[in-house]
Amino acid sequence: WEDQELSSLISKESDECFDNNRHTTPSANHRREAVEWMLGVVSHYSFTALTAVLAVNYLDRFFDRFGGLESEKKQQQQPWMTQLAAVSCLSLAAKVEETHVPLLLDLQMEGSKYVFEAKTIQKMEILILSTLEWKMNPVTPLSFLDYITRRLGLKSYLSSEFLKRC
Amino acid sequence: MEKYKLIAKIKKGVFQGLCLLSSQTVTLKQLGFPDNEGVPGSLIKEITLLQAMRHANIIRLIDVVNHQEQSSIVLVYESMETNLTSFIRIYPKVMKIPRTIKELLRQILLAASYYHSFNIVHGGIKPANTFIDPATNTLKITDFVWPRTLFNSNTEDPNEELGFCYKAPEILVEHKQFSTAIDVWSVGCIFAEMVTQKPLFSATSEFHQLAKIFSIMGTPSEETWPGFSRIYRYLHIYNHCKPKDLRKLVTGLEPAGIDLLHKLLYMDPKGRITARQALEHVYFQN
Repeated sequence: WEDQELSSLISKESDECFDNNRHTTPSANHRREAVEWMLGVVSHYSFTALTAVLAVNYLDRFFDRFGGLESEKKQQQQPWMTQLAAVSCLSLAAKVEETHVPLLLDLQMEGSKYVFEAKTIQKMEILILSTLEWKMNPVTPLSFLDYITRRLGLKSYLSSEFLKRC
Repeated sequence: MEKYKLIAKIKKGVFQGLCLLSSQTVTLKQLGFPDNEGVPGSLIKEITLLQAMRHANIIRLIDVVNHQEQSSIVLVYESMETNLTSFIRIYPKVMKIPRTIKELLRQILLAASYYHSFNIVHGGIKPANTFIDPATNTLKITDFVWPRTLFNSNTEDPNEELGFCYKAPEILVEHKQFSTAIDVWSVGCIFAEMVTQKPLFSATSEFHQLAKIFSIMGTPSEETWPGFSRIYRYLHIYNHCKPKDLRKLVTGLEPAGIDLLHKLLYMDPKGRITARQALEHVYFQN
């Protein structure tokens, strides 16, 4: 069954595959800022690595699908849009992965240029959820690391320690 | 929402609709939530899971759509017309055929064991949530009460909509006793009902339900259900009843079926058969 698990991971991953190259376009700066901001909040609240990976995954998938509709230019004119997406993606990732989730207002304290109302974030969350078709449990690099550490027979302590340092 | 047209209201928040793209009839369930902290995490996790579920005996969640400018969502399910209650009423003769009962029970158990393999407790298995296609006798369970996964079982009442006739004794006593075993009990109740065409434990209120169960399955003692007197301190107010003979209550069921029924309706959830084990029972082997 272990080989089956690996092949199902790979096939699920290729189904979810999206075009990453889009981010070499001018919006790459926006993306970098957003990711850096999210990582700052992740470390401030000591969220797990998976939360960070999920948040970035949601953001990339969202812009991959949504960016096609909204022109890149428009996005550049509205940097708050990227920030709102970043807050919402991080909030969604924390809700999926963390046992303790800070309030939406507290999530935004880390040097944020814009602060959004909970109501606004909720609307954005729903927009992201539907754009991602509610597939919030994607295959990530961590899924493979988790599989490999289990295959290597590393004790659960070691493997969680290992994942923490990724 | 423009993809769907509402046709009729089924109950509060649940509608029958038509998909304008595929002309397929669908069931729509509207979910709103307080807008203070965004979309509840439990809901995100559950819809993610439900979307991934594909089983021939589970009514499929086809779509999740945004509604009213993203302030609520609508779950879109495939639609079926005849539930088990009406099926028994409309086709009493078909339901008398032992093979039909066996085939329907097998399909309920397949659905339950699929839910349980994801650690999901359905929590609302009852004839009204069990649909049958009369043309093929294909049975599908719905989750209109939306099943709750084990991780958030402490925060919500899992059974507000479950007809109390199908509630397991442990959940009648304490809502914390929430496990996949409560679904197995409900399946047992449905099994008996398919045979006799009436509910096995029909009481007039939730309060009387426990007494009704004790009167048939016997009042638990330290031997039959170790630790029960500790989780239920009102046990002493119930009369001591001895278990009745299920063969006399569920007449017409073959001996292997009676044995399986006993195992599905085992009072102590720790000793109750699992859906998966039940599928391997000798009752299904001929």
